[in-house]
Amino acid sequence: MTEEKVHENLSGTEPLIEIKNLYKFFKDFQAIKAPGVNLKIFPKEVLVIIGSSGSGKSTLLRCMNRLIEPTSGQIFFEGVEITSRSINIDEIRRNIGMVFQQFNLFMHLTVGDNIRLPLQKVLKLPDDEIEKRVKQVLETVNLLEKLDNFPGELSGGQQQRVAIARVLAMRPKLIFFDEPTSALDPELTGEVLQVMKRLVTEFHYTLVVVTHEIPFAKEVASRVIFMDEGEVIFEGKPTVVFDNPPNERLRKFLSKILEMK
Amino acid sequence: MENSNEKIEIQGPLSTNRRRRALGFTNISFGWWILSIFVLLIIIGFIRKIFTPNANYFDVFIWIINLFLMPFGLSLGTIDYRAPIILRGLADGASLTFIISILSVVVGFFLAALLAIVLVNKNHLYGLKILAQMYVDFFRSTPLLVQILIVYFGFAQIFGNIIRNLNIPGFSYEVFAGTLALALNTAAYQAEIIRSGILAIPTGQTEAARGLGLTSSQTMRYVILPQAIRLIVPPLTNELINVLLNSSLVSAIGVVELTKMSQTLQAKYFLWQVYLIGALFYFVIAYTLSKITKKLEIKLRIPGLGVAND
Ligand SMILES: Nc1ncnc2c1ncn2[C@@H]1O[C@H](COP(=O)(O)OP(=O)(O)O)[C@@H](O)[C@H]1O
Ligand SMILES: [Mg+2]
Repeated sequence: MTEEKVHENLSGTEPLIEIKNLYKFFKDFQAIKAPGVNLKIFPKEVLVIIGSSGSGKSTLLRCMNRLIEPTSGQIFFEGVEITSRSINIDEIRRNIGMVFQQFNLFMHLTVGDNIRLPLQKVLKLPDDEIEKRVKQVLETVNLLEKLDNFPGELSGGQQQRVAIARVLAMRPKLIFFDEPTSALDPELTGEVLQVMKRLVTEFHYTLVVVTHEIPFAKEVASRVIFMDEGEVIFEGKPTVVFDNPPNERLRKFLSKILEMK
Repeated sequence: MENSNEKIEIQGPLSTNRRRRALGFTNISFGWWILSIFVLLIIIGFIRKIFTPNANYFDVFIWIINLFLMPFGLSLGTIDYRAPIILRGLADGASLTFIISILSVVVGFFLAALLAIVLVNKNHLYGLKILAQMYVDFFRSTPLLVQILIVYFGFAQIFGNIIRNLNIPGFSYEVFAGTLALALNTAAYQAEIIRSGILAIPTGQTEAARGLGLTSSQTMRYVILPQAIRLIVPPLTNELINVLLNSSLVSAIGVVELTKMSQTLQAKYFLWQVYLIGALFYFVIAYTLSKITKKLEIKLRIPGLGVAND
């Protein structure tokens, strides 16, 4: 599978993120193996990352906005190298939304204040603009009535939707999702996936999604990469990856996932 | 269940319960009534003391006791001539105990906050972190009494004369050294409390904040500390009570606080019960503080954020 084939419809466009030889070594463990991962993420694409637990998916995602410092390799955001020392990473991060497995809402702030905080302190927007955005994003995730509730008063699915709203209010150029539904009861995953689908179909966001939700991935992914033991083993279109996987380790992984469901 | 109870009460003639509730004396607020009156009387006592310097703030309580004894033709002084003197003396000791404790906890808190900032830092800060850790370890692994003696004798050369020359009534070098020793000691414990409170906030909170573009100091200020405060308050109030009780050790360097005062009065009147009354004074202060701080904890509570249950 060559790169041109995968990106045939995207040739000519500049990648939003480009990773070169990204390598991560924790004290005694290669989370992302040498010689490292190479990857391009293009505007408007939905990149799904699959792979068994411990294969380095979260590490890869967090390295891309330097929540984890890569051991070596380069990362470019819109052509700018963000791994260089001179860059102010806080200014880059406001363009990259991140949604976590554990929601990570600020527990001491109401839903509204969760969304307001970064708008006030990072974007430093005027109050009327902040209120407009708060209302708008809560409508998008269908939770306007929870504006003054604390996160502890919401269900997991609702919390995750607020987390998505908080990211949307920043108007990022792309959003990372790290297993956004893994901590949810099965009956609550649907509402979160629904919101994520809207982001793609209505708002045409660029997404990078780590997930085990195969039907969802089949539906929205424009490209799928499969990671195993700190390496990208396979990369291809969802039809290829899910319907007739040509790789032995990928086949094993997929059958394991199907068994669990 | 609750509903049927309500009905019975409404139908019945004015039950004592209903009358009590009408006055605001519910089970919950009864203690608060007593407490408020108690605090009010102490305040009145201190105000009176401003105008009549020879007065004792505890006189107000002695009057009240006398008021109850009056119908029987008695007063505290006639029952036992020593009683008013002992009560006044212990009350003076208690107020010094209270002041020393509050002062050392407040001073200790600021010191502890600095220590905690150094301790939670990921960097070594040019050896500062090791020094802070050594400070905490030293004060937590040596007896408080020994620490008080070290401070008392160790600082005598430097501060002894300065403080005597200041000539502030009631503020002797002994009081200074005792308060300082308690402050240094509680700083170590409070630093540890603050440190573990900050570290107890899940890393996901930091990740989310940094991921949104907040700087590390903004993350600390707007995300971590407001949550850590709620974890820190309960053990910190506990520490306040510890200091109050531990402050009895400064009697060893001659600070005439509650314990030393008890000893003096006991020696004067050969009455072991003085210690019992002294203990009662400690109890009232500690219990009052714990009630007030519990209220504070409940005020600070937020759904889903772990705080001690009531
Ligand atoms: N901070 C860390 N220190 C040491 N090892 C880590 C750390 N974070 C992750 N790892 C290890 O790196 C590997 C990859 O982790 P991760 O990227 O979270 O995998 P995934 O998200 O695919 O489950 C795991 O084996 C994990 O134990
Ligand atoms: Mg993970």
